[in-house]
Amino acid sequence: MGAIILIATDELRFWRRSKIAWTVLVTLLLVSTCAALVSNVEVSRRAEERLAQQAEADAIFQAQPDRHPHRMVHYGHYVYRAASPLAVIDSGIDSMVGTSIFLEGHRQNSATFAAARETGLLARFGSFSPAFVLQALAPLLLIICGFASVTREKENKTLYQLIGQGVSGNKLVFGKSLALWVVALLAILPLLFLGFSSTGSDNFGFRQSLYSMTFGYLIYLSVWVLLIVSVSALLRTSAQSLSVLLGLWIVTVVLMPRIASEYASASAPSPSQIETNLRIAETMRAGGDSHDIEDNAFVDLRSVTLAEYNVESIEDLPFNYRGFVALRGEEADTEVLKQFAQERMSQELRQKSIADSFSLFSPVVAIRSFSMALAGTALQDHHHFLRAAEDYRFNMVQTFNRLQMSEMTLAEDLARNDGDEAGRNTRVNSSNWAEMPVFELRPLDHTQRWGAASSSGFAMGLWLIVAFGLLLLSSRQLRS
Amino acid sequence: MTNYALKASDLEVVRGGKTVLSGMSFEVKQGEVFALLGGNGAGKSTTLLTFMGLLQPKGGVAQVLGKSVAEQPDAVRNQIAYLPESAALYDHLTAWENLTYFLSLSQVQPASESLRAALDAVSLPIESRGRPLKSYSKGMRQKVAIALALLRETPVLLLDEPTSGLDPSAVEDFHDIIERLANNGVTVLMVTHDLYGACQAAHRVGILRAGQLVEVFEADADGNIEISTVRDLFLQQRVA
Repeated sequence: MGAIILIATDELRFWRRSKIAWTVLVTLLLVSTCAALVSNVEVSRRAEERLAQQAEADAIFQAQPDRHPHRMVHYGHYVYRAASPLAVIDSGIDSMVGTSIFLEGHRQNSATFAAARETGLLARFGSFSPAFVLQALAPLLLIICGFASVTREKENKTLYQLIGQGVSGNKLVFGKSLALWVVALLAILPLLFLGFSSTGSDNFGFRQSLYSMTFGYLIYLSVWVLLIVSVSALLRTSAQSLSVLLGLWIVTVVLMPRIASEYASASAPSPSQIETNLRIAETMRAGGDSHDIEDNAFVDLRSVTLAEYNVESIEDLPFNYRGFVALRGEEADTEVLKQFAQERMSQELRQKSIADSFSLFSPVVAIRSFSMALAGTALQDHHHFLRAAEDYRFNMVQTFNRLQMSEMTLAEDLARNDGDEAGRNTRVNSSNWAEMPVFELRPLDHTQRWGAASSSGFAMGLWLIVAFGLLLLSSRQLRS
Repeated sequence: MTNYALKASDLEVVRGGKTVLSGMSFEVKQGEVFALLGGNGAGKSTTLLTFMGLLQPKGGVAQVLGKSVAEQPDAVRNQIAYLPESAALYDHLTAWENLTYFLSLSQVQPASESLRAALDAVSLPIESRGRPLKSYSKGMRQKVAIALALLRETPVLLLDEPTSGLDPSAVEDFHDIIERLANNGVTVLMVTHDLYGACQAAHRVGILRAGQLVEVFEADADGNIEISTVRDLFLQQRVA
């Protein structure tokens, strides 16, 4: 162990005294810290904007004058999703799928069938987040630092001197890896500090997710450290080592995530938004138009209801039958919408699963999925938001439908367009709008996030084992 | 108990598909200085690397103090101080730092006095000892490498072109050091192009050609080796 620490210490001393390595180290720390600061500012700004927009949307909604309840159903409402506290580290798919949606009667929210697609890391080159720095830039800077860690000893013949002092190949590569690992650790520190400050008051297990995420990034960067030192130990010259490692970086960091998402989209294609909308409209049409109480689709409903209340006509019912049809119609419509939404979500999860299988070819694919899942910015979090928004939309619409049932008679409702007075009779007091509960999304808890991240974590564990095996193999080459 | 500190028996070593040593055998007694002379590609450095366990012989056996190098490489390396052909030290470290670093790796913790004495022995100027080696001349680097080999205080020294780059005065100092070490029982195997230096420092000189030991000259009772005889054979072998 003593020799390993000595070698690691000297490697760090070499970097400290070498201008290039020193510049790389400082750059890595600066980039990592800047990304943390920029991301923190950006996420805070967006969170404030969301709060302001939600407050404004709530205020506008509640400021609506007395209206017919069904007009409120179609007036709709915006809901906003509060950012996960760990979005400061990894904004995940938030920037692609958005965080606000419009809710309206008879329609699924605006986001479920949006044309958003899973995109590769390449598409995220523009997002300067700590996750991007750790996933893409940190390995590159580690390569620049460590590509010559062992080849330098061969080229300068100091390898003979080291072996002559009784240093085994294992000790040499472990020492070099330890030094590079210290650099990786420094790159992760800003993430940890940022995560600590952003999860200060959380009660959804985000602090635990932060620890898991940090551990995941340690494994990920350890994989790179081991690969870099292995390649350096296996090859004869620094030039060869740099070429191979840069090639590896381009393939695994730039190309593979892109290939993974393209392959996933091609293997399990999602129907287009127009195609989906047409299918939904067709299915809903078959279920009847709930605006029209004479629609054939509601014949059975009418007879069943009349029998249940033991009355002869709908005018004799103790509620506004038109509101009742709207209520039942919305239930049926929502069933259809949920079925299509579930189909769409399953399709997206299938795509994600196919893309995630590329974790076996690239550790970046694994850490990306792992990081997003634990940050609460992954696909399952988006689906959770969509389901919660859909439940909220359904409850909101049904509240208005119940108002329509209870606050006016059928006769008044049918005559609502017969002059001002008739119109006024079907308007509901605006104080009802304020009774609508505020949309609040309870995030998934740590166990659910960890469950979504575990397969990627397993893939990273495999990468670590493979990289460690390669390191041991490479150390056996260090004889001459 | 063996009589020999170093023993090569019918060594055959192949590097890069080419046979570099072919059936080479020799022994070096404890406290003896044995110099191998040979032209480029004769197999001098390969012989040392084989004794270090850095090259695996295809045939034959290399032994150090009775231990097979192939079977006990780590135990053997603990008994050997090796001075590579080009002073293999770190440019980013000072002479002092190089010595303490490499000695720490071999679990030797010499006192500052010992370090100073070793650097004095190789005549490394005091004012240069705190500077990184990247500012050193080849000769100065070689002096630090020699100091390192001495500080290991091992029973066997393997030296590859040890006087390369040294000025005449430093070469004289080096020969004195070798003589003193041999008198203290240290065994030295050195390979060199320097015919005169080899004859001056060694008890025996072997001529190496194409991986085979073709002749060995022994010092007379006064400790001298006839340089002209060695030179004639050496030149003859090189031409051949």
